[in-house]
Amino acid sequence: MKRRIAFGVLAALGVVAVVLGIVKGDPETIHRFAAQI
Amino acid sequence: MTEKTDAPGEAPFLSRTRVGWLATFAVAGTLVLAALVVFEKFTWWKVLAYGWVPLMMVAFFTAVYSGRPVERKRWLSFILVTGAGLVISAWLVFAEGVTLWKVLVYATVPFTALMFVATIVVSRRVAPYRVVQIASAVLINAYILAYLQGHIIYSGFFKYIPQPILNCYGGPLAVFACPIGSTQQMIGMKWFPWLPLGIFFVVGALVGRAACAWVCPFGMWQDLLNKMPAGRRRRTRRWYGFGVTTIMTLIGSVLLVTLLHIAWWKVLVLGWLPFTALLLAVVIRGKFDIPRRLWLGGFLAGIGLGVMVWFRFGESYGVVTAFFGMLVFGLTGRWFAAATTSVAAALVAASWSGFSIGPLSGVGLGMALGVVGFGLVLLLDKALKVSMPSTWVKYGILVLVAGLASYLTIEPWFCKICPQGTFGAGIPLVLWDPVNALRGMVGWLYWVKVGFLLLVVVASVGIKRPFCRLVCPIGAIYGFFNKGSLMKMKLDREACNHCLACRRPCPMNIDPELNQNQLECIRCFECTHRCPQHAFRVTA
Repeated sequence: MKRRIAFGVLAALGVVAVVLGIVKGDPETIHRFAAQI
Repeated sequence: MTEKTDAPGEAPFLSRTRVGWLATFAVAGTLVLAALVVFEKFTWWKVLAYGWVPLMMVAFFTAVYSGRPVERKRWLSFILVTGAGLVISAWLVFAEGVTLWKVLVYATVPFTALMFVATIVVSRRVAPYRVVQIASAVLINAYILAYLQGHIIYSGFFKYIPQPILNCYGGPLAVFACPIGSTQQMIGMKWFPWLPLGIFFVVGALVGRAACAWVCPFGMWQDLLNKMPAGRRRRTRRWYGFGVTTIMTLIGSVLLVTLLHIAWWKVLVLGWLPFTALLLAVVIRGKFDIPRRLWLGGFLAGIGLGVMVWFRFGESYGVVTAFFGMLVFGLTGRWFAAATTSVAAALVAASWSGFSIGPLSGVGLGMALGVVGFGLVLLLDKALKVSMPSTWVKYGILVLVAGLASYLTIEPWFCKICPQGTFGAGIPLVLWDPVNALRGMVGWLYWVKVGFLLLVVVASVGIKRPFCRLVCPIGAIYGFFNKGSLMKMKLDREACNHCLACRRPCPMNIDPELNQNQLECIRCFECTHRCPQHAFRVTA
């Protein structure tokens, strides 16, 4: 049970990081590198 | 001599596996290609003719050979699909006006060779993860119209999104962004990589390292290469694989000579001959495995040598030396690492002062450094015997090459060495060179990358997933989560009769009976499916 809670929290932190990344403009930064040679 | 196959007639023609396989291709392929039409304004009939139809043909071909490996049907499928490839090639030449030799060299011949190898090599039922793996490999690299549309790489909507596995975003076929490439670039800019790290956390915490088995195309290539027959038990069949590979590498060598204008003897002596000799050695010797231990003395000596080379000759030489030093000296360790690194360190130190002679000169200090290094490596590796599992070497690569070197130099250093990048981007872009500038940019690092890729190819024939187990930084990150991810594996020890049926098919060559959630398990469930006692369970 403890494992599930801990890794559930990690997954939730990951979701928060993804949202934070989107808000902070990570996709645009990534696109700048990914869409050029 | 005779290969074990499923009995003909065992599965109905429209089995669940085949229908699921075709449906996966149809749904996913339609979605991505429709997105190309809607978002990228591609011509719909071109997407249909050159994208969807060949995709479904490949799906049909693989479905036929995967379900019932009857010789006649496999070759019938081969003739059908390669015939369709010829029709499409003719269309490209006559309707689209593409030059004949370009169509032959870039499309028809590689496609036919690939199908030929697939027809020979694959002869048993395909596991579920393989179905998803191949489908995702196609979808992640679905920008098949780059050449026809005149674009070099895809730069639309999907390039804003990192996929969860290794696939170079600089490749002409790549649709999504590479998470480790993005992470390095952002680290270099001193920008915290929230989005890629978030994706690693979400995927890792939910399913551990499953993406390595179910999604990663580079893992798929290694799996397929490892199917190439080798060793005495496959006395006849091994020569088919070797023969086809030799012909394909010869074609590649001719391309290098004609397109890049490299001297033929250089391609022959420095490229084709060593590669073919190594492959021949593996084919004759048979399958083997990675070293079991990572020796701390050799590992540290590799890093130390890299640091010295960095300060003496520049960052690029230093990072490359440290990268290969960690791998080679870490895995060999002991006498070889001690002798080689100490001599190399002595030479680098002596070169600082122009090899001046004297007790306190460059040569003297270099020799003293060499002796100290020799002693330290032997102390750690021979006297104290400090070692770790060899697969931990990828954590050194993650932290030092993908992390620290990228942070210090603002360059994505893992990308500069990555063999997947060479395969997916470096080689096709340089051969194609639509802007007539890329070939001029080829330098020594490019050839190091190509050499490393060839080494990984040869190693994959003999060893199961050598890159994933020893080098991949993404696998290293996901491995952390394996111990406790929400999806876990469990073994019913009372049901297990220790028959070892789970061990042989494991693509990572681990022992699932010992530990079902170790760092290297990629959740492919081969062990679960192969266990005659049904002793493995997947839990959440």
